[in-house]
Amino acid sequence: MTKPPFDPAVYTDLMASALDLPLTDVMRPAVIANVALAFKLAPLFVDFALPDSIEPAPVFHAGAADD
Amino acid sequence: MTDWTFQPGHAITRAINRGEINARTVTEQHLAAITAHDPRLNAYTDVTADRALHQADRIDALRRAGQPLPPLAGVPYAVKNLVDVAGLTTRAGSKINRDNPPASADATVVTRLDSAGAVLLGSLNMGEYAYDFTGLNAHDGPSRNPHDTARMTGGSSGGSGAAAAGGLAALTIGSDTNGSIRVPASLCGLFGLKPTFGAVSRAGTFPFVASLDHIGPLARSVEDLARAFDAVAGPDAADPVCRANAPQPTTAQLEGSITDLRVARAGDYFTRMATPEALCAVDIVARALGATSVVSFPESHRARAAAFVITMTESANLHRVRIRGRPMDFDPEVRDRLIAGAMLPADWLVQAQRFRSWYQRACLMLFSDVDVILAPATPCSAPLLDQKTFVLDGVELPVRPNLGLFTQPISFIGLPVVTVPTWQNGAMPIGVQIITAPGREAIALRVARVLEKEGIATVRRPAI
Repeated sequence: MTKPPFDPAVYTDLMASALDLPLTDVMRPAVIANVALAFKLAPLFVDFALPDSIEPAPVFHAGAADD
Repeated sequence: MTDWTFQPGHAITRAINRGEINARTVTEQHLAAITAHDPRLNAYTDVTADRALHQADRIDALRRAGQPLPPLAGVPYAVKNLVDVAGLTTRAGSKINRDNPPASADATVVTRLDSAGAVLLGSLNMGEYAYDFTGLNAHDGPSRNPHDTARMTGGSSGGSGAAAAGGLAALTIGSDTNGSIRVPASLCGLFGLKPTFGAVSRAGTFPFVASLDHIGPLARSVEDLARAFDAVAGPDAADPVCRANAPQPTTAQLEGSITDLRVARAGDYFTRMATPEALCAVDIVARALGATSVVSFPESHRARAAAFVITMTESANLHRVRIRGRPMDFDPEVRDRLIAGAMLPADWLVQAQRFRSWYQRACLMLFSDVDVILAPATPCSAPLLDQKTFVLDGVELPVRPNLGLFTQPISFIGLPVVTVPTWQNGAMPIGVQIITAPGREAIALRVARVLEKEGIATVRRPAI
């Protein structure tokens, strides 16, 4: 079975409802366009294979007992 | 009487030290210039005249008492309005934050500039919540480019660009998350310094993307950038990402030779999307520096995409309450990006931050073979204020998110950059990024100073 193409409008409507985000008729086209842009860009780094040893850039410091 | 409004800050300090002028006169001239020209440039949102005159009088009193003057004595400066100034509400370019009480204390950057003797003239216009590369603002109106008021300043530190280029301050402070110092420096024909991530405290500034936010100066001279950096850089426990060690002072190294430096141009991504004028700007600088080799920041298109998604998701989190509670009080273009950012998978954010680690390692290896890398600051010179799209590499793209195409992959890994202004055919200016390894601001500034001395990178007085 062929996977249906991603529909940013469907995704946007579902996420707005699930996350209680505002989405009026005025906002909707631009929000959908921004979601579509993110989905176009994300595969560039999501699909880039990284070694398991690569950790996220921000590093948490626990501090010292006398901090 | 000498007009001090277009003199560099270091010349003002020197003249005050010699008794050729007093700080009050310099301050009054700048306040008069703001009154005369700001209605057209729209750089300022708040003018702190009383505070400025009080600070100027303090400098003049020190000199009368025969006391040594601090390094930025009498330098008139102003800050992007996301920087806390005691007594002013920090609006961060927004309508919503105007409901907040005035700041109870100055940001660290203001405290340090004050200690160095600089005179605060006020706060500057900016794109809403710094989510902007244009200098447009839905609430305060656009800051306007002093070299052509029908054109953009670039953003989001648009007022910082307009004020420094228009002679309404010798020095301005901006913030740079993805390019917001370097883009207005490029479009307004200024020198701009985006320091190493963590070199300058962000304490007391309204955040945008905590992973990527930087604070830095814009000015009409390289020496002013160096003096400002030396004054504000250094550890600050109030900013969790501030580096623990103070950087080497840069001003004392400014006139040093650059003949021992290995300079290369950035290829691939940094040439593909540039217009001929952006490539010509890099040619001019590369020729002057004898840079013939080309290096490649690997996978920069992926870095830009990762920075883009981190920006969308972190900023959406920062504004999650405001998005839900007051959506109609946002600039619609900002709001609609924030709402979209709130919908993106957590997996993407973590992967983007992992890719950032990989990209940093790969890019830092370049600096074993070169000291300085040149790249365009913006893909083109200043677009018109109402321009929505431009054509890059044969593709029509929206201006707003794409003016920072060349700055975004560099700030993504916190490298220090000085943007230098170039001019072609007497038209609008366009900047070139001088990129160095982390903590090497002094090298980037030395290179910029050579370009300034040789007349390759120059600031022009606009006809306002």
